[in-house]
Order: sequence, then C-alpha cells, then structure tokens
Amino acid sequence: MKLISFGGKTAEAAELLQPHWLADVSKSLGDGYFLPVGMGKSYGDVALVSGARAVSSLGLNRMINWDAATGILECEAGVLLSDIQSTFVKQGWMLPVTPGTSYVTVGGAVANDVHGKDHHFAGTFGDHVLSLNLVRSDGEVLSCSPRKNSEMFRATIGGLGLTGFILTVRLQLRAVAGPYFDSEVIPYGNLSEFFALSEETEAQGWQASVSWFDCSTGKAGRGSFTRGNASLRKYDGEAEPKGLGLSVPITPPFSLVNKLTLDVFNAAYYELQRSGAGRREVHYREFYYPLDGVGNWNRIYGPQGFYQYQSVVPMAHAAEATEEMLSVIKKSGQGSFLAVLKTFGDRKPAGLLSFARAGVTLALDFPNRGEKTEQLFKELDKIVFEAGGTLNPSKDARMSREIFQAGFPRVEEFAKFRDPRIVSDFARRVID
Amino acid sequence: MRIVVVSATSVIALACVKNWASNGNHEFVLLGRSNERLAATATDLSIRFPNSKFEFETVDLQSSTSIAAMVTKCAKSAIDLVLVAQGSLTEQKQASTDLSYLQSELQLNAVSVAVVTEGFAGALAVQGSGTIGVIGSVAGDRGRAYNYSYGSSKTLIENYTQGLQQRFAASEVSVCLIKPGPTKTPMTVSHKGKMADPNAVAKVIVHGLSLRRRVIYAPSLWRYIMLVVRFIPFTIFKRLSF
Repeated sequence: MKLISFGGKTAEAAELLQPHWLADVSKSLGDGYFLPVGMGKSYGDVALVSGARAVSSLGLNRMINWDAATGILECEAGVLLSDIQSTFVKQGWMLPVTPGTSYVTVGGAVANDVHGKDHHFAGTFGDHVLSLNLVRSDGEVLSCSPRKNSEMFRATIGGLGLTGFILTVRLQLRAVAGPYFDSEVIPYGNLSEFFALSEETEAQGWQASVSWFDCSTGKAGRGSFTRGNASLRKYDGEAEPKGLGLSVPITPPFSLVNKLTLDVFNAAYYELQRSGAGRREVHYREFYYPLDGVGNWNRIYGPQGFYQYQSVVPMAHAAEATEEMLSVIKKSGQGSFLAVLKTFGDRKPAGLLSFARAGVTLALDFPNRGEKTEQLFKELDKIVFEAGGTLNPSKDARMSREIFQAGFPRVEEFAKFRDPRIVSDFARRVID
Repeated sequence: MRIVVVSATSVIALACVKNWASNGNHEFVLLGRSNERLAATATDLSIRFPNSKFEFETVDLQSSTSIAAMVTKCAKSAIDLVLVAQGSLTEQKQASTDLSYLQSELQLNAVSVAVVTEGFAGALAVQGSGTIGVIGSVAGDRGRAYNYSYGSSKTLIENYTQGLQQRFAASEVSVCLIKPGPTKTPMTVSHKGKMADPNAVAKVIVHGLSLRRRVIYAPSLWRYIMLVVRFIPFTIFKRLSF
C-alpha cells in the first residue's frame, strides 16, 4: 500500500488498516511494527512507514461529549479540525489553536503539537488538550493528563505518534462571539520592519499574526503582515463561505513554481496584498485557512513534489540569521513562493518534542530539484544550526540526525515513552 | 421529517443522515445490531446537529420476528422516509469455498433486506404515504465472476423493489432502488481503483430520494456505465476480466 505525504514523498507500507470503532483499534495494531496515521498532511515522513503496517484514525471520527457551558469537547482521534470549527462556531466556540489547514485530524494535531497564527497568544495545540486516551501496542489503554500519567502525556503531545495510538482527546475550546475576524494587513519593505511589527503586535495583545514575504530573487525582504482578533460580531446564521471552490485536478508534468514563474507570482501576490492592505472583517475560514479553498494545491509542484523548510531560530540571532538565509536563497536562484515568517512567543513547550519555541520561524516551500535543492538546504541548515535553531519534524523529509538531536535534546528522555512496536520513516532516519 | 435508517452505522447510511441533518431539522430513528455502536453514533450526531433528534433501537436483522416488532414500534408515529442500508461486501474467494460464509452473506445481503423492506413497505401502505429507499448496488446489474455472490443479492433487491414499485404505482408510497458504485469505506480502504467519496454518494442519494426517483445511481455516471455493461453480448462478456 503506497503512502504519499503532502510534499510528495512516498513509502510502501505493508498494509493500511482503518478501524472504525474504538474497541477494534487494539486488534488492528497486529503483532508487528506499525505507525498510526491520519490525513497524511505532514510534508515529509513523520506519517510514512516503509514495510510496516499503517493504522489510520480516519474511521474514528465521532464526537463523544460536548459541554456547551464550559466548551470542553471529547472526541475520537480521527475527527477533523474542520468539523470542530464548523460545528461549534455556531454555538460560540472555536479551537484556540489551529494550523494553516483544517483538514487534519485531532490525533495528528496532538502528535505534531501543531501551532498556528496564535502561538504568541495561545501556545500550541497541546496546550489545550485536557486529557487523552492512548492504546499501547500491548493492548493497555492509558488515560493521560497533566495529573495522571503526566510524563506519558507530555511525551505524546508532539510525540509524532511514537508513544501509542491516540484513541480519544479532551479539548478546551475558546469562547468567541461568532465566526468573524477583524484583520489588518500591513505591507512592509524590509525585515527590520517585520520585526518591529511583530513586537508591536504582541505588545498590543493581538491574538493572531502571520506574515508572508517576497522571497523571489529580486525584491527579497518585502512582505505583508497580517494580524487579527476574533470579532465581537455574533453568528448571524450565515452559511460558511464555500471558499474558492478551486482545485488542482491533475499533477502537471513539471513544477509550475519555477524560475520563470516565481518572480511573477511573488510580485503579483505582493501587489494583491498591498491592494488589500488595511483593516477589514473576514470569515475565520479565510483568515486561518486561505489555502483550504484550493484543493490539492500541492500538485502545482509537479511529480517531484516539494519540500517545506521550516526553521526556528532564537530571538537573539533572529534578525541576522533570517537575513543570512534570505541572501543564501537569493544567491541559489531557488526562490520560494510560499514564504512565511512569524515570531513565536516565549512559552513553555507543551510536549517533550514540541517544535514551537521562542524565536522567529521561517517556512519556505521549494520545488524538489534534487541535489541542487539539498545543497541549498545544507547551507540553510548551517545558519540555523549555528544560530541555535532547529527544523520542524512535521515538515521535514531530509534533516540530519545531528540537527534533530541538537534541536530536540529531550529525545533521550522521550525514548522511555516510545512504544516498542511503533516505527516511522522519520524515526528511523533521525531518532533510532 | 421522521426518518428511519436501518443499519444506521454503515458508512453510506451515516453520510446520508449527516446530509439530511445539515440541511434541516429532522427526527431520526437509527436501527442496527449493536447497542454500543448505535449509542456512539447517536451521541456524535446529537453533538454535531443539536437541532435534530436522534433515537436508536437495536434490531436483529436476521430475525423476522425482531424485524416485525421493530416495524410496529417505528410505525407508532408517522414515518416519512425509510432508508434500508444493511449489507456486507462479500469476499468472492471465500464465498466460493466456504458455503456457510456464503449462506450467512446471502442471508444478510438478500433475505434480510427483502424482509426489512417488505416490513416497512407494509407500514407505509397502512399510512398511505412515505418513501422507502433500499441500497442495492451496481454489482446487481450483471453477474460477474469477480463478485457474483454479492451481486446476485443485489439483483434480488432490484427485482423485489420493482415488484413493490408496481404494487404502489397508484398510491402515495414510493419505493426507490439505490445503486452506489464502489465507495470508500473502512472495508475498501486498501482496495485499488477509484472509489467514490461516501459524502458525494450520499448527496446523490438524498437528492434522488427527495425526487422519489425509481432508480438512483450514485454517482450518477454509473447509470451509463452499467447500461453499456448490461448490453455487452455474453460471447464477448465472458472474455472480459473486470
């Protein structure tokens, strides 16, 4: 059974099972090696497993308990974030933290301890998990929370699925008036303006912020800064926007993001952002998930797929490291179209292997051009490594063991909580 | 509407329920074998659709007595719509060698469906109104070496619903035969080939039922595919390997 990651990396799993009921999960784990998987939206190989069984959570998509007074939801691990948002926003509740796509499972969001535009305000997904049930390969079901089996709880949050199969999760949602955001888009001309805006945004207490920047070879450094707060306007019965309804129907024979198109894309997008500058009210789907409106957008990178390179560098070296990375990218001639820059707040990580940490994070998408791309990554690695930063496992398909081990020093402690029968291509590559 | 769903935990039936509930407030009676599964399903639906009502009841679909009792119970209040959805994807290889497996599959996919359909058709006849949708399959359109143990059960359902359609032709009772093509379910997760998304299939079914179509192919493209398949002369058909 071929598994394909979001970035286009593949693995031949021995088989794919999809238990439909919680009671059936334990026997689906078999007696060999396996990996729990979900929507397969991780870019690299954390959700890939070669030669062993993949056990999907997608059949486990039931909500179990909902308390409309406190906003506490208990659900099975295969429930999608999109379902949670659309169900509860009508009742005045939303996820406090969400990544840039809503088409991921709750189990996957916990296992990758995902972050989003709200990090400086609300932390990561794991910060809002009250408890979870985990089944280990020996059949034991562990109920974990900050009070009970607390070490296993911390290991499972951001644990990349390696501590057991997450069965159910209890989440705290955040009270909102309705589905709207008051957003503000501010164009900026260079990186120091970005850092100034980030600081101001955090100081002013904005709930969410993110920034796109132009990473084409010509004008690298300019960009647009988006920030927002949940609007006080109530839900008025309006249907969810249908989105753009666009979809990339087939994989083109070559990457549509290439030298010829990149500068044009970036310049056009910059102008689009500039023309949309200022304050306006937007629906949460547009604010959080602009790319969910375009189905299979990852196909534009062609059959070779693409890499996302997401680094985090501590604040002390943030400005110079980012400048340096940009100049290396410029020199390489391999620009990125989706270049995202965001500062993380200074918060205690929710899990042992959580990626999000104080500093500035840079996420870049590059078409896979083989050795040339890897060469660029090695240069970027050096800058990140020297600045004391690391890379995001959920996005990664190629980082070295050295970079991983340095960036995630608690991996030794984590080993105690590993399930002995769970493997992933990522774990084999940088942990085992 | 008051909607009775037989084998409500099956993937296509559940997708239909979600489609109905997201477009209106209805009263559902969910029937199935396992109390635990029905309870989990009803809880999930009640959280997702707080304005609809979800009751559930267990029924032994292999027992005509249990089915008859359930029909009587459900018919205490008016029924607008019944969806009969039980079925199991028979493994042809196993059915060809294991006769007891074959028998239990035929029992579930053919006999039980006919008994349930007849039971609810009777209740709707007494009411003088209502729609009953029965899930058959494109596999019932022609016997194929690949899946005839499954397909022939679906052929029985086709014949059965045709009879009911003629019987009720002059009344306000409608009988619809639903023929889904291969659909993504936990049973088909590792199957190769293109599978339809259950939500897309449900959309076609819900729309077809609202129009009281006699035969609903879902996705509708299958109507034309099967038209061709049915008319291939056997001398050629026997050499094909699909």
